[in-house]
Amino acid sequence: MNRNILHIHIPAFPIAVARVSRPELRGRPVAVAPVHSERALVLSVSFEARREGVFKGMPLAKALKFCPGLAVLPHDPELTQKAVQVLSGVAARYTPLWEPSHPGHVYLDVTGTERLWGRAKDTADRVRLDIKEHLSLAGTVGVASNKMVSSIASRVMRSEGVLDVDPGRESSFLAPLKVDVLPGVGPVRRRALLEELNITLVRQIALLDLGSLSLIFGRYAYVIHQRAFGIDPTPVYPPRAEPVVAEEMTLPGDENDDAKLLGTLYGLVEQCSRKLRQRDLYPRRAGLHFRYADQEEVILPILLARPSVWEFDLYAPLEKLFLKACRRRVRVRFMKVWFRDFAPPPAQFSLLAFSSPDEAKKNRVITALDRIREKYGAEGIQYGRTI
Amino acid sequence: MSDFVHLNVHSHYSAGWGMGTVENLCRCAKAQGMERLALTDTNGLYGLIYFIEAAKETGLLPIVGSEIVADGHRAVLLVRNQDGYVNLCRIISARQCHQDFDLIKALKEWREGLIVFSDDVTLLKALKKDSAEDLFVEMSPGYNMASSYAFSRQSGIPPLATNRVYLLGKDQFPLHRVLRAVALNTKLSRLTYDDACREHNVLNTPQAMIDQFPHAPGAILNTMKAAQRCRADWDFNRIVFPCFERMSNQEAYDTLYRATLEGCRGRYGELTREVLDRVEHEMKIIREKNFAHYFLVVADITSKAKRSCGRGSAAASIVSYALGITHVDPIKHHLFFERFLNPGRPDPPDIDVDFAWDEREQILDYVFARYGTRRAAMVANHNTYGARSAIREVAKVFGLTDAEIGRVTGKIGYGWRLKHIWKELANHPRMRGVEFTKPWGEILHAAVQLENHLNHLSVHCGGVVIVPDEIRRYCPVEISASGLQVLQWEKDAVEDAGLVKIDILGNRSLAVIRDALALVEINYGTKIDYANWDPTDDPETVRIFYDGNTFGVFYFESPATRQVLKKVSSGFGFKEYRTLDHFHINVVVTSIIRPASNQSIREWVTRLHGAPWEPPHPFLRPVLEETQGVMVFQEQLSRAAMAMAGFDAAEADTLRKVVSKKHREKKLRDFYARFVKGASERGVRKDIVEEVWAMILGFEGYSFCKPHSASYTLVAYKSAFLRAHYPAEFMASVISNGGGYYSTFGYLSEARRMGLRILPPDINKSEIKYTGKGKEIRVGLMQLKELSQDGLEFLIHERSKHGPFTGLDNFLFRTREHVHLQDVRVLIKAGCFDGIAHGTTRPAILWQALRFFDTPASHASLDLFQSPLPPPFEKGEPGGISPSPYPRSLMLKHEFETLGFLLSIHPLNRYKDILKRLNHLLAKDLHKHVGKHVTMVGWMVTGKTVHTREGDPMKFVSFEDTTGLYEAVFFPKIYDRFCHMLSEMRPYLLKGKVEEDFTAVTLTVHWIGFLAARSLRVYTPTLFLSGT
Repeated sequence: MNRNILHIHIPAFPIAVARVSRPELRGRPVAVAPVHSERALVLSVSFEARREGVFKGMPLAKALKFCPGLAVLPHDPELTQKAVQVLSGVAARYTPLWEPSHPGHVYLDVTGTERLWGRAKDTADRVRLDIKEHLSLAGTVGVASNKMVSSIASRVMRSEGVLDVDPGRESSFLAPLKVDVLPGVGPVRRRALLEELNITLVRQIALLDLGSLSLIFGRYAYVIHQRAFGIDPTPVYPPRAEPVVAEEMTLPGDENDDAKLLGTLYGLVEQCSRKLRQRDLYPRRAGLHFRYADQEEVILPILLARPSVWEFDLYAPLEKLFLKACRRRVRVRFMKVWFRDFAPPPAQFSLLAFSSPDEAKKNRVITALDRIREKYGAEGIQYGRTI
Repeated sequence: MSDFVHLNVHSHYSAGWGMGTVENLCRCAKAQGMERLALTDTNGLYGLIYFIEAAKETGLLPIVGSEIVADGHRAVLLVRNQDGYVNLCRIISARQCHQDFDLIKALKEWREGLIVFSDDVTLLKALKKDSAEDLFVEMSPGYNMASSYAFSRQSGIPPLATNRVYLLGKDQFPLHRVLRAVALNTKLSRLTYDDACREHNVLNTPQAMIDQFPHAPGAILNTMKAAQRCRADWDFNRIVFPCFERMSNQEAYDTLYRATLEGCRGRYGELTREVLDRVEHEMKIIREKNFAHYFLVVADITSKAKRSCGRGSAAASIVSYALGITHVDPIKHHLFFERFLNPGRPDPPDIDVDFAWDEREQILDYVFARYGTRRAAMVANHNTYGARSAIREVAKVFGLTDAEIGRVTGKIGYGWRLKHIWKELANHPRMRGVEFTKPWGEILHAAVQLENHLNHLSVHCGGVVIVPDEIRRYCPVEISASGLQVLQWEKDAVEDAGLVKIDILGNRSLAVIRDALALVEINYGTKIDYANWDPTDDPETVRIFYDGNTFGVFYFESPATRQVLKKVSSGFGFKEYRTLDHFHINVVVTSIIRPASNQSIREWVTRLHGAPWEPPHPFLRPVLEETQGVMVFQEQLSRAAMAMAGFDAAEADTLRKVVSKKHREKKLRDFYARFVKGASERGVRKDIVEEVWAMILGFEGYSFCKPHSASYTLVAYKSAFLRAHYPAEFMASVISNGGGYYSTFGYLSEARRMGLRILPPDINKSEIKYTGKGKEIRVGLMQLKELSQDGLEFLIHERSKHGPFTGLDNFLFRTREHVHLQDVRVLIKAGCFDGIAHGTTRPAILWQALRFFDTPASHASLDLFQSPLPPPFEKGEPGGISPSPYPRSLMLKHEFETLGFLLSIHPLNRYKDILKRLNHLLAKDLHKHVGKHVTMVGWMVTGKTVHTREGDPMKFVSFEDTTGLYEAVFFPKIYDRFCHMLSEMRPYLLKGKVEEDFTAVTLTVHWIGFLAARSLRVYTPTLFLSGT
């Protein structure tokens, strides 16, 4: 049976999202890059900037030299993540089988939804208009019988709209396109080799026998061969949800004083463990995520020795982890703590649950703190070290 | 009289620990009424010479010592006498050079003449076994004082009080912590208690120290006792010459005399009275100053290289000319020996010799092989914190990002002193747009105190000291990162300590001449003897200078110099020019170009062309005669001071040194007073004194002495000779040696303008270096930067051994062990195989190579009848397509990728269509439009940013189009507006006014834009992106 796969593609997603709320950015060259370092690489480029010679992955300083009028937006992963969720929300209305492959790209498997939404091509247009109307994001939608071709179809479109590739015509659709549309033809190594062999179009790859192809692609020759003919069997993977308890904080000012950073960390752990207690979740894994002022990120997971909901149990391993991981001198700007992989709560309190009377005492204090906070708000009572 | 002496004191030469400078420490100690002060920097005597100087100036008795810290043991050693000094140097050297250094063992061996104190019980016990004399237990408040005292009483070793001084005052403690964090690469909140010193480790008053030892008055008393036993009469007023082959002074003198006469015979043929007189005169002074050994050692070193060029004042000596150290005839070119050696000058001059840049290492190896690490060592550089590095290091401790730091340091100008500007920094016009928010106040405050502190030691580029006996007797040594033995002192300290150094420096031009001569010999069999080769009278060579055609000619190739050459020649016909002393004129040309010297250049050129001139004062006429009243050479400065203000030779020479060195405001002020006094005593008018003083100050920064310039000018004449007679060989050698002022692309363009053809690299015809013959230059394989060194060397080796490659498969089989697929790809892209491809296209060759490298080596063999390499696409092969040749644009792209520039066409040719429609002026017609506003097209060749008197940056840029080279000026306002657009990777459209200054034409730019930024946008960047 033929599948019907849609691929929604919003070009330069972070920029498109930013333009929704900042119309003054429309129609002028924009790029996203960490603004705190001139050596930082450009992460996303608007169409107008690309026309000026700015490309993704170029050092920001060079990009600014090429295009002095470039508006540079800071990297805002939170906003992008929010937008991804909203976009996924739209997709979820049409099919349960959708996959947000990366920001601004969503695959929808609409096989068998004809009676509900009509032909795939019409569904595609409806989705596009839906996104345009509700999210004010302009994009293209590719329709084909597999993920790869639909993705390519959505990318070859210059302006917004829908491009559908009829089943059976994948190969002739791909033939006149440049080789680097095929996944697996990396932008650097393989494409350079192909260029040196004077192979620039997919058609030329399709003409090569497997033996010659393996000289270029090694053990991927077969896959590339298939792809050159427009064959791609990979299914659409729906995202899996996993419960997580997390707290994060952007520090009021950048900071590299360990005492203050650990205070912040303690505050985050405290908030998480309160949530854990409320929901009766006993995490087996935890993690720490912090970002320096120059946007360098550190993400470190950790296995907890003993599932617990009490901050005095949870804090120590995270403190150790932080002191080990925060090696640079650069000031820290953002911090996040999460707990996941929850163990089933103990069915009943074991007689030996509190290994020491000291621990029992601490528990009572924390329970009391929780009650005070319930009554007077989170800032009603605080540890000195978190202030 | 005070009752306590600080015997454990650290200055900033204890890198990463100490806070005070030696001057401040001495001043502070004096203010507290002390008579003596010790300096005991950690594991070094880096500041010794300056400390002794400062102590003398403030009237303190200096005590020399060092704190040795090694492997958990520590002890402070003070020098009692000369033996002790030698032993201390040995111990420090051993600590710095040997990984398995054991302090206790070392002290047992070299304790003679040293006073040792420590709180290290193991060490004290071990040393006491030998002798308890001059051994003390160190008691310092805050460092387990009680247990030290207990040990002292129990063992009977007397106690000694110290305060382990790292700070001048308590207020320096926070900064000390910052410095520690810098040194440990950590942040303040991670510093442990023992990572830094204690807050009270300051240069306390004696009374404050006595108050802390009510229970142990002996510890205080012992400081006095120990101090009095230490040597205090330090004087380095001696000169340590190297010793040549263990000869006695008389032997050395005789040997030198003989060698000189023999050399003169070789140089002059017959020995005239004039030559003999000169030799006699020089030898007399050499004997007086005991300089013979030194000459012999330098001559021995220079004789190891075929080509060298003595630089500096040594070129004024007929002895060095005879020995082949220099090649300028001092008699012919009127160079005075007194500039080099002068009976009135107490300090010895050093001889600096240039060698071909790629032979320098070998020469250094020879020196160390001949004299050994026992007798020879390199001179060090003390790298201190400058404005930028101080700010950067401190800001890092405070956790600022590179970008935040760069925003400030990037705007700090060269040579800025934080001391003067840090308070106004936030309001400085350059800092517009930079916000100095919270930690910046602290950062600047800390950085300003860190400025000029020792950061780390590095190796001076060429200075070598050779002593007659053992170098470790004179100064401690270390091992540098590159493995060379290096002294702990820098150039000035070495000089002040009376050690004579020899500078062995690298010079590209000598390698250019060597390579060009080798090519000439291969191509034509003509041999030129470098040492006795004098092309100064060769008409073609002179013409090069007359026309200012000195592109590629060492020392004369910068746009500024070429402009001055043209200005000079504009006043003479060529014939007339040849009859002038053009060598002397060119010596002046190289020396007169200095920052902000435009006015003097104008004056000099007009006077050279015949304008009358008067010196500022008749006293100065003999001094300034040879340069038409303009002060050009260093020695004119000293001679002017002598003639006008009655300075003696030594004083005048010191003045010259003080002027050319920076940051010696105080000394300069003293000299000024002395100068004014001396001149007015001789009845010189006040305004004239000021005028001449201003001329003297014009030498600030850098300047040259005449013998030095003459020596270099001679090298330039040799280069010019080669350029005139063997242009292809010469330009090929210039490029092979990395060129000088211009890029490879710039030199190749010049070669084309000289009428040479540039041939692409070829697997059988190219060498590693560029080669030239007749009218052709062949690109060398060295230009293929992506080619592996191993592959490159092997293929040349294989080719020279077994003959040229006959085809690709032949090449692959012969080189497969060393040349990899990546190398072959580079060679294919560069078109190296085109000559042996027999019509096969480049992509087809690549298929062939891919198959070859895919076949396991055991299967591949050269079969006479059956090629194991199937042709890539046989007819009828399923899916076979025969690879078509590359399109033109791809060929150009590959050319750019592999070579780094476009070779087959001028990059401007790619814009032909646009240029046709554009009304612009060609470079060759520029001189016809003087005074007019014009539009030009240009590719940037080189540029030089300079600063005006007001400190604003401006830029001189050389552009070229397909017809020639032209100079353009961006004055500050225009530079400020357009500087971000300038790069050597794209073409420009320029608008400006053509101006002429004595026939030298420049374009004063008013506007600059990218050529065809719009219409070509689609394909412009793609070609150059990968290469930029």
